[in-house]
Amino acid sequence: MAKRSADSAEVFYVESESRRAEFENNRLKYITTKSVRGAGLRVIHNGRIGFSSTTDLSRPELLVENALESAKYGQEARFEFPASSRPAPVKVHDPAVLEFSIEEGVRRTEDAIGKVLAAEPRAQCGADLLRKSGRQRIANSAGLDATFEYTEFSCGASALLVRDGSLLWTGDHDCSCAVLDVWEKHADKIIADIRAAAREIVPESGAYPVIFTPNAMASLLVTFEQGVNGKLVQKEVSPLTCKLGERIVDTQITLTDDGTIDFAAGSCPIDDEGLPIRRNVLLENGVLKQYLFDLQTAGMLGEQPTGSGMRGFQSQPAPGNTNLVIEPGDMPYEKMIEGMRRGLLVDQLLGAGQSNTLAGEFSVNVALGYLVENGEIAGRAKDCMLAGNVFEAFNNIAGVGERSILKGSLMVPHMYFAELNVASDR
Amino acid sequence: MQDKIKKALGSARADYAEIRLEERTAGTVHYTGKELEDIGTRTGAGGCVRALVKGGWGFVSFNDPADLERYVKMACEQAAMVGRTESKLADIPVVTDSAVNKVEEDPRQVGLEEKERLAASYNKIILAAPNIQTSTVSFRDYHIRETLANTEGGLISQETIYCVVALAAIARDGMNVQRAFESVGDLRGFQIARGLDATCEEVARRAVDLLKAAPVQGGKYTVVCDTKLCGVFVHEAFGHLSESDFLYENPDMLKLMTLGKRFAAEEVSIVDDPTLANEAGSYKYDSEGTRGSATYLIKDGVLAGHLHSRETAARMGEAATGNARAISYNYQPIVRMSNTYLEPRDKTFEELIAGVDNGIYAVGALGGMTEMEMFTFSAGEAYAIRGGELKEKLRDVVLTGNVKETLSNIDGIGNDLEFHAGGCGKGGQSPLRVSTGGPHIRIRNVVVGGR
Repeated sequence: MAKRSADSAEVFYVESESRRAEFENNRLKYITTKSVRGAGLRVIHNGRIGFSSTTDLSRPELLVENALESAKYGQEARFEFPASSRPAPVKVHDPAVLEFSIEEGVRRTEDAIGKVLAAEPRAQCGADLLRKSGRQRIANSAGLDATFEYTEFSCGASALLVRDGSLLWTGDHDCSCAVLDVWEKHADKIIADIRAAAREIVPESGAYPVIFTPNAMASLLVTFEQGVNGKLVQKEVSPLTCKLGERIVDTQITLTDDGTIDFAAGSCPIDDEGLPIRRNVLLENGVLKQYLFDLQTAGMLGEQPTGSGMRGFQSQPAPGNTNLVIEPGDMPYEKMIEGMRRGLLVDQLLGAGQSNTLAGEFSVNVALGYLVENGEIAGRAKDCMLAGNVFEAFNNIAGVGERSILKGSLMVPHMYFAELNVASDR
Repeated sequence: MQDKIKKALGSARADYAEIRLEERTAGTVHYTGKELEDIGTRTGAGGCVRALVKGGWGFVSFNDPADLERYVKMACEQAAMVGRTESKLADIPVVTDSAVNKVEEDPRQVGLEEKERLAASYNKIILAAPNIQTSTVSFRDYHIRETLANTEGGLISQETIYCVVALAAIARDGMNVQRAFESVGDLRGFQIARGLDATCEEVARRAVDLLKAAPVQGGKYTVVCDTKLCGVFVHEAFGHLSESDFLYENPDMLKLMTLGKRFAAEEVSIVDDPTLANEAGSYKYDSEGTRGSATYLIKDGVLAGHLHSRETAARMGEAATGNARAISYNYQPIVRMSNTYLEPRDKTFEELIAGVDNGIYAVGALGGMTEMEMFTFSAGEAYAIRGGELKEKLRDVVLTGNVKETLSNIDGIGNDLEFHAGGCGKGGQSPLRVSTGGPHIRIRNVVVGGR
């Protein structure tokens, strides 16, 4: 229908159904089902881009009208809708997810919670189990019509322990396109954290060597995500603007955006404009190799598209990440801890992304971290903040972990920073 | 439609069930730098069923309302899988009502052309300032029509119109990049988007000033907060602790938040009130159909109340407060704040500053987060205070601390209460329209992160 009224058009349609079991305070609390269906329509008319979206598919004429109205004011289009697509052969659908019984998942979760409570009866556990299946279709007036099906499986557990007004909140979470068996692992991590955090120490303010677990690394990567975002480069506010070919961080760091990892949470065969997904090397041995673009941004900068146009059905594409990967180095985690005379090991941070991330600044509360003394964990580091600059930190690396661990859409190793600032009451 | 709803509810095999249907139209104009990246209208509709069986909840949300009875059946079955105890909900009166928030200027009557022209003029002001690298000017207006019906016979329809404007300026000098934000929003109508020329100039100036500001040195300081930061602090540091879905099954937290306990300095009173006329967090009925009411969370330094859904109220033996909110038909109601503020007292801003020998005046908030006992939030900009006077500009001021200690360390409360619109995030439901409010306040012994 849109083809008749506009010069060219593209429809992005999604439908999905998910079922979720949520536990609160040690027992099953909710079972929810969500069934979503919606479409976004992009048109290029008289050289300008227009957009609208709806969940009401019974009135397509209203959707077309809104999109055309929007095109009266829209940006000048600097791209054409692609005519065909060669999807990457990555696996994102696991039939076992559809067959997975929520009752079984509830039983496994109850067992895991039981294990935690046996070790620490005062813990208040929460858990979350999600199974989802969906279909995404993109069709445009140039002839492209691509559909793919995907599944999602997500599982997490947490525990809250209140001791004399002091709160310890810990947990673990994994998600993937395929069914995961992680209940035992989550319970074990929670129990280990509770034990390690039994003694509380407020570290003195000052400079410390700090090890980040893969869990904590997500907080530091926001700056790099923004840095390679082609849209921020186009606006010239990316901290990596005009730095292609320059060494940005330590030569031990290679960072890629890789949507071709089978069953990883961020993987997909085509991006949300129909282009094939691929592996994009962002930083190679510390040197900036490329940015990420959607079609319009690539067109504005005269660059080649990178298959990075991401969106939900209610918005237009913008550059986005699939899975972020940091290649492993050669330092075993045990060696990092052993070699630490006095430093911090951090696992959970609070407040990431609220500082001036465009300048690389970070200032975060250590929600769960430990003080390490003479190669051993001495206790939980309490009431302290970590501050610094991401670019400085990644140029002063004492070691890169020898194993990159896939968690959700992030695959990173432990990272040992030579020196970061800690601020506390002392 | 109402007959369909009644029939579907009639078929529910549950202790309680409710159906919520929603239709929404959202208008948007969004400039990023010189580019108009988004403009137009989006529509959406959908609904949900929630059922309670033996104390367990089942929830189903959908876009296609055709098969309401099937969704009711699914929700009841899911609830039955969960329920193990007794269903308890605080009593509320059975209400049949229709509430429409009246606006002065309906955003749907303002043409796209005029919205675009206005946004473009603001964008021009920001971009014209020297050293400004890029900008954001965003207009969003939402028209939402909701119908809520339950097995108790309640039937409520609400119509809400929410307009919000967000402005940002990014200044750049080499590798030094600084941002400033400002946003306004409420339920009064599109006129909130007019007359913002001076605000645009102010946002640009703030970003540019930050380029020359010195990073703050980490440590402990006396901090004077402006009205915006005070509101964010009250919301983040304390408001979330009062949300009973976090308390009601947690004996340790219940002990911590026992009513009557001293929790703050004597001058401190904090209120959550959805009945304020047309503020960003206002509403007549919450998403369960409970009439919204004002709740004192702290009165004269002492814990005075909690925020509730019908379930948490029943379980804690307190009255329902009307704080169960769902951000859309896609989600279940959970306990949320509405308009949350610190009551003003009698100090002037000058008096508060004059009482500081060595401290920081922190203005605006980039964001805040809480892990219940600990909070953290970042100021938009800051000034050093020495000898009772404002001195040089500071940046990267991030405040953190323990809630009870910090509330007890408030030693001066201003007379200038102001409300600011915000978008709150909790349980994946973000951004929920709320407002936060407060006067200027002064707090001793705050830990500030920095170099």
